[in-house]
Amino acid sequence: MDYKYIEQLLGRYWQCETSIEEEQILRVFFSQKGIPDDLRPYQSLFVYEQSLSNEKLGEDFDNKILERISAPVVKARKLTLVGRFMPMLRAAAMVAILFTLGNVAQQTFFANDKNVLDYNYASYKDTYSDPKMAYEQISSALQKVSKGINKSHKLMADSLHRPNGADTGANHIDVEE
Amino acid sequence: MEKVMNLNMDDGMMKMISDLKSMQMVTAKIHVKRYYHEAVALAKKNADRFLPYASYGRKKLNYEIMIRKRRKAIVELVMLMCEDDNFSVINFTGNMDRRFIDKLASSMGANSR
Repeated sequence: MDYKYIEQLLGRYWQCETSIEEEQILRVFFSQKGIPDDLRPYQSLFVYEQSLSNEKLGEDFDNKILERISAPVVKARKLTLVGRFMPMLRAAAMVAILFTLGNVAQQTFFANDKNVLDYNYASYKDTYSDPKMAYEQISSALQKVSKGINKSHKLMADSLHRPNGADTGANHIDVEE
Repeated sequence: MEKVMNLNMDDGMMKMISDLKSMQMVTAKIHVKRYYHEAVALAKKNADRFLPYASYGRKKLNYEIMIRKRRKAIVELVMLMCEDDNFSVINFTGNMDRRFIDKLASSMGANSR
C-alpha cells in the first residue's frame, strides 16, 4: 500500500502547514491497526489525545481539591474561668517566686547584725568559781537594774501629775510585746 | 548560770535567773561622769542595735537602760549607772520579755526605791 500521501501530510505537519482536516486524517490513519513499521514511531503522537480523552476524573477528585484549597477549620474550645486567667496566674506565681527568692537572699546575705545574737558564750570566763558568790553578784546587779527601772517609772508617774509637765529627768519607752 | 541554778535559793530570783544566759558588770570609781557620758554616747551611736528603754537623770544619780530585741524577745539589757563615786555598766543577756522586766521592777524594786 502506498503511504506517500500520509508521508506528505507528515512532512507538512512538521512544517506546521497542515489544516485541521488534514491533521484529522492523520489521527484517523494512526488510530487504526496495521501501521507500517516506518510510520509506527509517529503513531503515539497522534493517538495520545484519544487515550487521554478516555481518562476521567475520579469521584473523589472534587473532595481532594477542596481539601487542599479550603482553609483549616478551627475548632472552638471551651474556656473556663481558670483557663482564661491562667496566663495571669502564671505571671503572678513567677513574681511571687522571685519576690520570695529575693527576700531569702536579702535575709541570708544582708541580714542586719542587730538581729543576730553574736555572743560567743564559750569564750566567756567565769569571774567566780563559787556559785554562791556569783549568785550574790547577779542579785546585786538585778537589784540595781530594778532600782533604775523603778526610779524611772516613779518619776514618770509623778510627771503626769505635774500641772506644767515639767521635765522630771525620767523617760520611759514601752516595750512592745 | 548553770551552776547558780543548782543552788537552792529564792524561787522568784531563781526563776528570773533561769531566763538569763550571762551577766557582765563593769565598775569604775574614777572618772565616773566621763565614763558615763562616753558610755551613753557609745550607746546612742549604736542606736540601731540598742533601743532606749528607760532613763533617769538627776544631779547625783543617772541611769540609762537600753535593750536589744530579737523579734519579740529581749535578748540583751544594758544599764549604765552613774552615782556619786561609782560608774557601773551592767549587761544581761538571755531570753527576757516585758513580764521579766515588770517582775524585776516589782519583786526586787519595792525595797530599792
